[in-house]
Amino acid sequence: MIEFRSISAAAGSFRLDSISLKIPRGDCHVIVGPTGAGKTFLLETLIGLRSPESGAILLEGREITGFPPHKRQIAFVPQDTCLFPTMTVRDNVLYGVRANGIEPTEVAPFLEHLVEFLRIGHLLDRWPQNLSGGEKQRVALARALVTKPVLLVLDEPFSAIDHSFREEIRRLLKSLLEEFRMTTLIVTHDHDEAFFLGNHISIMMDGRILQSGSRDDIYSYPRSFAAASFFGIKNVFPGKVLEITDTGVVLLWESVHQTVAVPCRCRHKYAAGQSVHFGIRPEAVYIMRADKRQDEKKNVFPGIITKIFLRGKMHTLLVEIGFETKIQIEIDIHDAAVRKMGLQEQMEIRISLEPKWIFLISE
Amino acid sequence: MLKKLTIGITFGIFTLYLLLVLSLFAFINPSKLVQALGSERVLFSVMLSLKAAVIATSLSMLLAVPAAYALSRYEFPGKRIVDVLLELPLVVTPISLGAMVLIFFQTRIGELVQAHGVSVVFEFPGIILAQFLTTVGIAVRTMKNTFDGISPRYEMVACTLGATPPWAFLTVTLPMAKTGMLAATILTFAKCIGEFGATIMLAGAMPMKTETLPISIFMRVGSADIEGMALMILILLSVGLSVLFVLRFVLTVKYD
Repeated sequence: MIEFRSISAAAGSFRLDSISLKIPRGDCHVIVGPTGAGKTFLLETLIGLRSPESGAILLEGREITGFPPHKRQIAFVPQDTCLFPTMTVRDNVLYGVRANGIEPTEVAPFLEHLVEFLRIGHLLDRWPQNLSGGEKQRVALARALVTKPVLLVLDEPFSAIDHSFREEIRRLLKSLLEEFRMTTLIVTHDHDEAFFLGNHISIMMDGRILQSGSRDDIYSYPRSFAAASFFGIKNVFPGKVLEITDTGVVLLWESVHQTVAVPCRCRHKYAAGQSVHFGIRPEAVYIMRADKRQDEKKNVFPGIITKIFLRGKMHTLLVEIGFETKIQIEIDIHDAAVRKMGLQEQMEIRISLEPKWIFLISE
Repeated sequence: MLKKLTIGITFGIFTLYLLLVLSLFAFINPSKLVQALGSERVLFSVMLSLKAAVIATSLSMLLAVPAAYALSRYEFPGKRIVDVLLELPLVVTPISLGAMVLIFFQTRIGELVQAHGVSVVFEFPGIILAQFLTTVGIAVRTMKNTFDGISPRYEMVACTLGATPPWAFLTVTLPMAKTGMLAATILTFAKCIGEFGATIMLAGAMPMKTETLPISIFMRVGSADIEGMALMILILLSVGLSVLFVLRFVLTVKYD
């Protein structure tokens, strides 16, 4: 278990503001945020390159806040891998073993397993300069893992890899972390990467953690405008709490003169008459088929498709709803569904905002 | 157009130097060259120059590497002043630098150093000190540029793998700085072997004692011995170029 307890640190005018985080053993936690959020700064504090002003870092219950990097047992893979160019791949991989005074023969079975898993056996006698981005990343992972660190830290692990190989390396990393049950902290600005790799995710912005939670929770229920905006969710609208029910809240969507039911465990936080915002991910908006009644659907609105942006596998539809005030809703929909339903611009449709996918922002 | 112009300028510079070297042969008699190479005085000059340059270069590099590393990696009080002072040998002429050392040895501290340490003025250590002082700043500057070009993250990664900072420096950064070290060593050695101004101020021009190759050339100018001067210049050129060639050959490592 790795724990940050109210870590605050400063570099120039930038501040890390009371960061608290717990990563259980074997978990893969991803910190996702835009460039300049302070992700790398936080990593540098974690691996011992920067001293926090206050707070504590605990690794397996032991405080390591004042420890130098070489005593922390935290292996770090930077975004450009930093393989040592004056050593062969084999010497790179064995660097940590030798630096810790361990005989390479002692780690031979583990190393063999690692080399086989990462498919780098044929690269061992080559120089890092002659490897592709993906190969470098695999070697850097082997080098970091061979010393069996308590925590593996990866900074933007796929940024230097060609797009065509990125998916392959992502899958390999995911299986690797599962195979070796490695406690891992990854920082990235890429949402897809975060949701693919992380069991738990934290959103970081301006030196603060905005929200932490499970992958599904973070994916579907951002709790702030900043978080929703970072994930590119444009379907965020103002509403007013009409009533609190046993299972959630009922909102009045004033712009379209209609109510919206939202199941919510934290309904006690809200009061009738309170202004809130609610939102939904574009892929969670359901387009109802004209040939089916689907009475069970809730939060149903008639609308018209104003624009279809075709982009390969998934397309984006802009749908206008409302009478006096026109509201635009973005819908991401699979290519096959567009074809099957024969969706076209200016077509009248009905959409449903599936209650369980609606999130509330009370800022 | 640009290609032709730049290559033309390159060849222009090369031709200029080549003309200077070839003009030496107008005054060199091959039989006298062989005779001169066997003479005790010429051999003494060659050996003295080589010995002094090797020791001064080694000393310069030995101190330049850690100093440059500190300037490149750490922040400390007075860093800017130190950085500016490194340019001293470039701003002050070697003769002035030699004179400054002479003046220093006239002070009480200087006298104390002379009395309790190595005697420097008009002695072999004076040659080494003169060469060292004129080159160490340049060596530090060259090595600092080298370390500036190596991302500190390599060491950072090495440390997270369990290496102590000195071990990370020795096993990761220093091998990566090899090309820069080669450049600094070549530059330092070339400056040392051709050093004249500071050497003559500190060690004087004494035949068979402090007569390095540049001083030997100077002494022959004094006696209007143009043939002897041309010979010594050719020897200086050959010794310098040979050592630089060997250095380049020995220290260049390719990783592929």
